[in-house]
Amino acid sequence: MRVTLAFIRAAFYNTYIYRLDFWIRFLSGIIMMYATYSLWNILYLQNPGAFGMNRVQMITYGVLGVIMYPIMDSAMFVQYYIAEQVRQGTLEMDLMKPLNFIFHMFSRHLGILCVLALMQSLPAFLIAALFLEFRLPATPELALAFVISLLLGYLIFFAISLMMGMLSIITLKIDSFDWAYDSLVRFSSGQFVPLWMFPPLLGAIVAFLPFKQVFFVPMSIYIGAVEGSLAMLLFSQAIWAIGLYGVVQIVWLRVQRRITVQGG
Amino acid sequence: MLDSLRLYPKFIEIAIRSRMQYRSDFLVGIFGVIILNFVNLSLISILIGRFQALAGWRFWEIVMLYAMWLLSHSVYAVFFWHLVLLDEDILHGRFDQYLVRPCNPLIQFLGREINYMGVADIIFATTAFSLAYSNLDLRWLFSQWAFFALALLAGLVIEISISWIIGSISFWTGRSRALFSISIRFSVLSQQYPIDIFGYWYRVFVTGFLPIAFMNYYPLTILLGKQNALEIPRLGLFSPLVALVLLLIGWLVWKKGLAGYTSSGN
Repeated sequence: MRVTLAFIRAAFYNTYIYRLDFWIRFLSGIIMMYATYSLWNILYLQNPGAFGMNRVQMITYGVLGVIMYPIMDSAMFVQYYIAEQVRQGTLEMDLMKPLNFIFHMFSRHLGILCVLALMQSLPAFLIAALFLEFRLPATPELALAFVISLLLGYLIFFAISLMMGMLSIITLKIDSFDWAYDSLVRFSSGQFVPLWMFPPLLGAIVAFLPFKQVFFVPMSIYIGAVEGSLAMLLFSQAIWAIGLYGVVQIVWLRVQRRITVQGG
Repeated sequence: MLDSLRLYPKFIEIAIRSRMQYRSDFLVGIFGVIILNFVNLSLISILIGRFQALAGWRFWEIVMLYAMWLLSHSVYAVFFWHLVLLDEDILHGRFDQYLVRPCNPLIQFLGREINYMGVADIIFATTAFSLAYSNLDLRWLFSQWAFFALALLAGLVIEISISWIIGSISFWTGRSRALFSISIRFSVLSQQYPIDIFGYWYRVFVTGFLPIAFMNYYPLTILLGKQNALEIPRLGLFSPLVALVLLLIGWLVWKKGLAGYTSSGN
């Protein structure tokens, strides 16, 4: 607990040092929300029947994708962090620390999560609620289910990012892959275009990927566009999370055996 | 500067050799290029499937918009992509090594790496462009082809300059990854879709502040005989000018950053 708090404090200091970074992220988030808002607005006017839901629901979905982005993005920092340590050959410093590696990574990035959630997503949420046609969940149940689903989504994405980071220990350089991976995530998670708009075949493929659990599930709970029961959705997210952390443990044990320290 | 320029091909040769060490990375990179283009085109076709046309842009017109951007972007990606990493060199004090050698630091930095996965992008973009060209039944005159080529060059220079400016800002801030990831997010959005489908202020933003709409959107509206989203006629003709101005700004920011550079030390 003490360790975790220390990391959270450090993350806030870090944000203070890189203030420009913070403001740029913040402003671009606002512009993105505006772009998404006007996109769905314009397309809705063009063809109202094509959405399968009303205009405000669609706008809320789109804007929520932008608001949630910093939260999920913070999980991706673990991937960059490990890749960077590997490139510089400083990973052994982390391995020598008297901490479980996975716990260490989690605590370190919990700080970044807090910073981005409180200082990016929360203000964006307030601005959207005040100035755009962004609605709150229809019922308290949906709101509660959304928060739980959001947390589970974060845990799932953190596990995936951790695995991607560990992969960089083996392949050493995966820079060129990052951009493609990032776009694959945004595509198959429904962060930008909701999955029910996908043609059946493509929809079936993305349903098998875990990314759907990261954005699409919490977002459709938020706007109340769920088929079947909420409990079932949350349960399947929990199963995904548990399964992925199991895989992370296995991957980590295998990777640890293969680590060779670069340079001297 | 000229002497340094002559060394550039040599640097590139070395960069290619060192890249060859990471063979699995090469495969992963090619795989990445395929995934990226697959994802982008899928999104376009999903939206088109739902809405027939996006603000008056038909499927092949949007494919052409995308291919045009990808053509200039792929050249950028091969030779200039690592401008993204400039901040790391500065932050970790590695930038010093460029300064102690008797060769232009910019040439050394640019010659450090080559990202030959971008070649796959070039193949992909050419194919997509030819398909769009024939499906749209276009018959461009020589002057139109000349303008197209000039616009591609301008697009390349615009992307290089924006990255150069962002990278150089890290001389002061020490970090520019956020700026990069954001400019990438914006360009992803504006290079794949006609900016007509976003709100007015967004269009102003990608025209005046982060002028990425000059890379493909404005020139193509002229070539396809379309009204552009800001309804300023012939705006695309200014692309080369925008490119030159940005390049000048990039050069100034770089010079100023370099002059004030103090090693991060340790």
